[in-house]
Amino acid sequence: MSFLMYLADFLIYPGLVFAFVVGWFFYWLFRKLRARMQYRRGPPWFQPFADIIKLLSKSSIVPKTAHRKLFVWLAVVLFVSIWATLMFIPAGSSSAPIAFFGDLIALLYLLLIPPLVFVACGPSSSSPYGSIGSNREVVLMLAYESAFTIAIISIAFMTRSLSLSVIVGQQSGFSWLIFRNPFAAAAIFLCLVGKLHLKPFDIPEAEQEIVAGTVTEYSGKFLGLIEISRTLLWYIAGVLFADLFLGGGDGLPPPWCVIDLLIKASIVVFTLTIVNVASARYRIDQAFTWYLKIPIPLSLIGLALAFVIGG
Amino acid sequence: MTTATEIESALRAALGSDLIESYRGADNRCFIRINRNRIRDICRILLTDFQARLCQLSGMDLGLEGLDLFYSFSLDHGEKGLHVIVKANLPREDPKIDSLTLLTESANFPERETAELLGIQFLDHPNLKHFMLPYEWPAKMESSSRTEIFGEEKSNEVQQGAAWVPLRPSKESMLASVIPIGPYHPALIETAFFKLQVDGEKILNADMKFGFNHRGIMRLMQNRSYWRDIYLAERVCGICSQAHSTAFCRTAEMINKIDIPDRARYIRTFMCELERLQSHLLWLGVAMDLIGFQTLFMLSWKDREIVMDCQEMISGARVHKAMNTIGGARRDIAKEIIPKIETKITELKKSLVTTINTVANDSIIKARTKDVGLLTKNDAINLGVVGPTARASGVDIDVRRDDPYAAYGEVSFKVITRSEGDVLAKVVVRLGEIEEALGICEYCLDVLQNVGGSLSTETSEFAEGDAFGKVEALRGELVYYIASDGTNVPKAVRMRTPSFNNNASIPYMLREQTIADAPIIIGSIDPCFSCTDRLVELEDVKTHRRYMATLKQLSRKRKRL
Repeated sequence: MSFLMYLADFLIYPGLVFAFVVGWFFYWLFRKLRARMQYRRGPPWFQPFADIIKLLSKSSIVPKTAHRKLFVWLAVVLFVSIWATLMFIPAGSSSAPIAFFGDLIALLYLLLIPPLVFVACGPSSSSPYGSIGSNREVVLMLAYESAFTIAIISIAFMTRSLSLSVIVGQQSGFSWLIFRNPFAAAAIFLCLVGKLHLKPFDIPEAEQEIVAGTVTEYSGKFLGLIEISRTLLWYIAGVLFADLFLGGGDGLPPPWCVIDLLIKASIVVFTLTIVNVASARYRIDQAFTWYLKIPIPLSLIGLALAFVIGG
Repeated sequence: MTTATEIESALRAALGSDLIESYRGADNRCFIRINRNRIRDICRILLTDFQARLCQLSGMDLGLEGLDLFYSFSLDHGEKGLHVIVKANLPREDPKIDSLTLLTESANFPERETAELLGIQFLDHPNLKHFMLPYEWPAKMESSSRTEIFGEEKSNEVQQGAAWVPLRPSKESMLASVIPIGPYHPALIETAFFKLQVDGEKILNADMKFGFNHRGIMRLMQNRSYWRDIYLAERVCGICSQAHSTAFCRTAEMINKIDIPDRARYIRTFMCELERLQSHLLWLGVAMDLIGFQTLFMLSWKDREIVMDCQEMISGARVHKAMNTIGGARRDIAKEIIPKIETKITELKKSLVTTINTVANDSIIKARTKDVGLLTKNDAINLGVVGPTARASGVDIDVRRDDPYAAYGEVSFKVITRSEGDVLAKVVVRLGEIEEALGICEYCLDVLQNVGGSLSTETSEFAEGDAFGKVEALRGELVYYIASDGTNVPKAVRMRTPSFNNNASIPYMLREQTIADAPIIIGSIDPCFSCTDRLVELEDVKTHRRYMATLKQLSRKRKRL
C-alpha cells in the first residue's frame, strides 16, 4: 500500500502529472500574457502541450560529430533530476512526499543539476553555437547561484530550520517571509529570471546570436524531453517562490490549499512576465556585473537582516 | 566653395592633352573623358584637393568600341549638385586600368564587381578576389575574355586557388574557432554570409560574402523600354521601391532635361518620406529584436502599420506603390483622402512618443548599443559609407539637401548628424529622421491641399546622351546612371545601392567586438542584400570530386532525368 502511495506521489500528485499540467498552464500564461502585452494574439491554451506532442512524435537526429552517449543521456538526466526535484517541493499541503531535516540543502543541490546539464549539452553536440551557449551558461550560473544560495541561507536563519515543511508551516497566519525578509525575496526572484532564461538574461539561448544556444542540435524526442523539463521548471519556479515567501498553502484544508498556492504562483509568473516583456537582452559580461551589483548585495542584506532580527 | 568652372580648369591644367572630351549635363554634372593612364592622377586631385567622394564606379560593354569605364565623383558639399563623371575607354584586347583602391577603400567593392562583370583588370588592386561569384570560382581574374571568366563547360573543375580561401588559419588563430552567420541564420533574414573568427566571445576577424540572390536587373533593364524599366526599378527592393523608381525617373528626366509639375514633385516627396517613415520604423523593430527587446519590436511594427495603411489608402498597395512615371506622378493623392492621412499621421505622432521615449531612456538598450560597433569618421569617409550610417559617424552628407530633387529644395528640414559613430548614434540619427520625415509629410500634405495642376509632363522620345542621378534612399545615397542612344531602350543602366557601400564597413565595425554584439552591428547599417549566385556547386558522392555546374549543364541534366 505504501508503495502504491509513493507511486501515486511520484506520478500523479504532486509528481509528474500535476506538475506538468500546472507548468503547462504557467508556461501558457507566460506566453499569452507576453503576447497580449505586445499587442499580439498569443497561443491557444493547448499550445505548449501540442508543441511537446509534435516533438515527441518526430524522429530524433544525433549529429555525427556529437558525443553520442553524453548527448542522449543528458536529456534524460535533465528530465529525471527535475522530476526528483518535484518530490521535495510542498504543493499546497505543508509537507512534500520526501521531507526530512535538511531537505532544503538537497533541493539546492538538485536545482543545480539543470544548469549543469545545459552546460554539458553544448560541447557534447560539438556545435559552435552550443559551445558558446555553454560558455555563457557557466558565467550566468556563477552569477545567479551565489545570490540564490545566500538568500536561501538567510531564510534558513530566519526560520531556524533547514526543512521546507517547517519553513512553510511557520508562515501561516500571514507572517509571510516576503514581509519579514523582502531583500532575500527580491534576490531569489531576480535569480529565478536567470534560472528560467527570461529576458534580460536569456543570453545562453539568444536566438539572434547563437540560434538556440546549448540545445541547438537537439531535435525530436530529446528536444521533447528538454521541453517537458522546461515546463516543469516553470512549475518549480512559481511554486517554490510561493512556498518560500508567500506562505505556501497557508495551512488551508485540502482542495483550497492547492488553489491558494496556484493563485500565488500565478502572480509570481505574472511578475516574471512583466520583467521579461519590459527588457532587452544584456550581454553576458553586463549580466554578470549586474548580478554582482544588485542581487548579491540584496541577498547579503537579507542575510544580515536574518542575523539581526533572527528567528 | 568649389564651383564647376574651378574644377574644370584644374582638371584641364592637370590633364593637358589627355583630356579627350568635356561637356555639361543637367543639374550641374560635368562629364569628362580622359586617357585611361591618368585615372589615378585625376582621382588623387579630386579626392585630396577637392575632398570629393567616389560615388559610383562601373562600366559598360560597347562592343567593337571597347569597354567604357566611368567614375562618378560627388562634390555636392561644395556647390549644389556638383558631380564630376570621369570616363575612360579601354580597348577589348588590353582591358587594364590602374586601381583606385590604394587611394580610397570605397573603390574596393566596385572594382571587384566590375572585374567580374566586364573582365577588366585593375592593376595594383590589393585584394582582387571574387565579389558576387563564389570564392571557389576558377581563379582567372587576369584573363580578359568574359567567356573564360564566367566558365566554359570544358574548364569546370574547381581550381581552389589559395587566394580564394577566406580567413585562412594562421598560427595565432589556431585556438580560435570560426562561427558562421548566414546565409540562413535567425539573425539575418536576408542572404549574406559572415564568417567570424572568434576566441571565446571576442571576434578576431570577420569576412563576408554576398552574391546569393543576384537577379541581374541591370542587364534586364537594357532589354526593355524606359517605361517598363520603372516597373523593374521598383522591384529592386520592396522597402525602397519609391526611392528606386524616383531615382530612375529622375535620371531619365535628366536625359531629356524636362521639369516635372509642382504637384508631382510634392507627391514624390511625400511618398519618399512616407517610405522613410515605414523603413526606419521597420529597422527600429529589427534592431530592437537583435538586442532581444521583443516588445519594442512589436510596438514599432504596430506603429509602422499606420504608415502602411496610408500607403495603401493612396496607391492601393502596401509595398510597390507605383506612384512614379517619367515626367511626374502616375497617380494623384485625392484631396478627399488628405484629411484622413493627416489624422493617421497625428495618430502615428502620438504613439511614437512612447516608443521614442523608451528607446531614449532604457538602460539596457543604452548598455547594448553605446560604444558598440564604432565607425570612426576617417573610416567612414575612406569606405565611402552613405546615409544614416555616415551621418552617425559625423559625415554630414544628405542628397536631399546637397543635390535637391523633387520638392526637397523648398521643404525645410534638419539633417541629423552625430559624431560618436556607434550603434546608439545610428539609432538616434534614425529616430531624428523619423521626426523630420513626419514634419516633411505634414508640410507636403498642406501644399498638396492647395497646389493643383497637371500630374506629369508628357515625354515620349529620349535624347541621346547620358545622365547621372541620385536620391537619398532610406539607407543612404542611391545612384543611377543611364546611357541613352536615342531609342526608347536605354543603352546601359547602372545603379549603386546604398548598402553596397555600407556593407564594406561591417568588418571594420565587427573587429574586437563580441559575438553577442555581431547581430546588432551587422543590423546597424540596415543592410539590404541584392546580389546573385550564377552557379551551383556539386559534389560527386562517389568520387568526392567537386565541380561547378553552369546553368546550361543543369538544364541538360534535368532533361535527361
